[in-house]
Amino acid sequence: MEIWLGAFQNVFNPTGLFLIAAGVMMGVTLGAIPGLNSTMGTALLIPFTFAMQPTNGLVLLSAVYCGGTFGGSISAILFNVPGAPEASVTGFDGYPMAKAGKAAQALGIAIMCSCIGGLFSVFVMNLVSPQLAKIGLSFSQPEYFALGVAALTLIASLGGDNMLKAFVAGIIGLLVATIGIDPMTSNERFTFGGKALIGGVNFIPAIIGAFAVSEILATAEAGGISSDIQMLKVSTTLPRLKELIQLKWTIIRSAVIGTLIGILPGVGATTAAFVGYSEAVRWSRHPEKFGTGIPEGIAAPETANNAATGGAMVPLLTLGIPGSATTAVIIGGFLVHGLQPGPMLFLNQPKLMYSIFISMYTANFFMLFAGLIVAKLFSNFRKVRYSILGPCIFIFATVGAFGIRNDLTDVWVMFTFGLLGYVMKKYKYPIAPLIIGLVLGELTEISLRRGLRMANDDLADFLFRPIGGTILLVSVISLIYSIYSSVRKKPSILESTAAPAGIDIKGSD
Amino acid sequence: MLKALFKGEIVISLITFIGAIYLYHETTKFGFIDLYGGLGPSHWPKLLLVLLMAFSLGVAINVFRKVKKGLLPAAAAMTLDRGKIKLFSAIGLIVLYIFLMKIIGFLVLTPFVMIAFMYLLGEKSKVWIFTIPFALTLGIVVLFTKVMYVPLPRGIGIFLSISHLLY
Repeated sequence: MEIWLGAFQNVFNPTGLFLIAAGVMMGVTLGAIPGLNSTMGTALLIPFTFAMQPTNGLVLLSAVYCGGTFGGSISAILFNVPGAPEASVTGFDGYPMAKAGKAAQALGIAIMCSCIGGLFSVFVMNLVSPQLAKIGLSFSQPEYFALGVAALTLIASLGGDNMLKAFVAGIIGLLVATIGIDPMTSNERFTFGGKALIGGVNFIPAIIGAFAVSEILATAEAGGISSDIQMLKVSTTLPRLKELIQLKWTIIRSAVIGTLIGILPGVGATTAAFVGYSEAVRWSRHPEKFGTGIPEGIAAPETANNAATGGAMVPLLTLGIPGSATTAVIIGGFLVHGLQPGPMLFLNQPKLMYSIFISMYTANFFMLFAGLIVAKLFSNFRKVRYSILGPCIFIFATVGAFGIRNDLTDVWVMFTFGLLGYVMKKYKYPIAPLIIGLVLGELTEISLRRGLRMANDDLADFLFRPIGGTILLVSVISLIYSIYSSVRKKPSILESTAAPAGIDIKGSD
Repeated sequence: MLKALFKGEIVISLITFIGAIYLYHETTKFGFIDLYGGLGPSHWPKLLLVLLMAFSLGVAINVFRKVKKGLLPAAAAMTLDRGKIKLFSAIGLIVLYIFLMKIIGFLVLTPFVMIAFMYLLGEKSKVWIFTIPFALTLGIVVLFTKVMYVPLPRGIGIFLSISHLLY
């Protein structure tokens, strides 16, 4: 009790509350700008935290992390440009919803579900961190492979009438993910003798190109007339309790998925968002509606990706192992103060640990307000004509792509995927599977290869593991059902996302 | 039948199929010493490429059958209309921008590219055309170079000197 009181005092004072509020605002704003993210924000703040008290410094970093994970959904919903990779799935339903004049509702659902997901994971982290860490450690390569497959089966669920095209797009994404140096043997793959592709294809410029640049090209062809005229008046409306109750199963399931995935080292909010969305489609009574702009399509990824923030802190705090890229940076925040995250820190500095828990609770609440403010600010940009907005988005996208590795190769990647995205939209190939394949390709391939090495090339070992085998079995059944449904000619759910509505792309030839 | 074959999806599927064959050939150059067994660097790409060939053929056959049955229109003649001209202009502008950025630098090049883009997208207000590009470029330079420490391309020669005035 004394420790909790001390932790409350550490956080609930003017300095602590100011740092949380500032951190959340910074995180949300950074996350909303394409090319910037919470990882960058926390990295920039590390030197500043050196001059602060350890508690204040770590509280600030945690707040930026929470805010940044949500922020990307703002630009994903309003502009179809995910501000951060974990928000790329949010755009699948968020953008169509915004185009239908429901941007306020979409943003409200994103904000509220992010808050709920974040609070859930912090609560779980608070209660059962050591036990959760053990679960995380029990995950091995076959389980990671099973997770990758579970998320990839989303391609079939989204395919509908365009299933063959969805598979083509997904496989292209998986192939692009193989470009570069093979992580296991260091062989160069598909680099064609040049240096440009040795580092592989980063999925962030690919996502920015596939969504933003392709839309700019399509709008240029349409004479600069955007289909977004319905979005002139945009505000943010938080969902009512009744709406949240309708989404309760999606939220609960995604919160659990996000927390569990966040615990796994090396797998972060992006994978959590994809798996959360995939499971929402799998368990929905109307999977064909996903991709057309439905609340579940926003609730699932946003709950999952913010739930992953608390989950990612579990291995960090209990074992000293980062659960995501941002928590890997946050380790730096510990080290500048001479602290080593891990089990001993819980014993030696319990007040600090509980201060972090309380600050994350508070940050998730503050995110409601920060999200409303930043969403309002960004939504004002929607009133601007596309002839002005389009070039601005393009320049931001270019700088964002360049800023990842300070390399113009990434800008060329953005442009290439922009062209590819344009062609795919024109000929009704869904873009979402391309992104899914690109994001999950490396995880799936490497975990398969490492798992087979561990099992002496015995694939059956994957199936007989309790966790991995169960996930694989459910995924395969879901895949077969999706294909069966498609053969029985259920309506397509990605046709509305394969080409921007209202834009007159002449002919499909 | 010829018109059906020139349907966009069929052409793209055939390009994808041929591309997959070429890339499959590329995988034979990856090299791998099979000491302990297991999947090498080429196995996974090969599997994907075989699947890609199969699915792209499937798309082509599916579309061909639909065109023959009259469920889809046959290929229409390609026309170079105003929309296509704007599209190719936008593509050309982007390529030029990325290519010239290393030579001219972000600070000098970006406003002019933005002005061209705004004209291309149909912006008519000269006030916005000649204020927003410069204001936005300046804002981005300050944000990304001073705050985020992203070294935006500075260009060479005189453009480098101009860029050094700010970053």
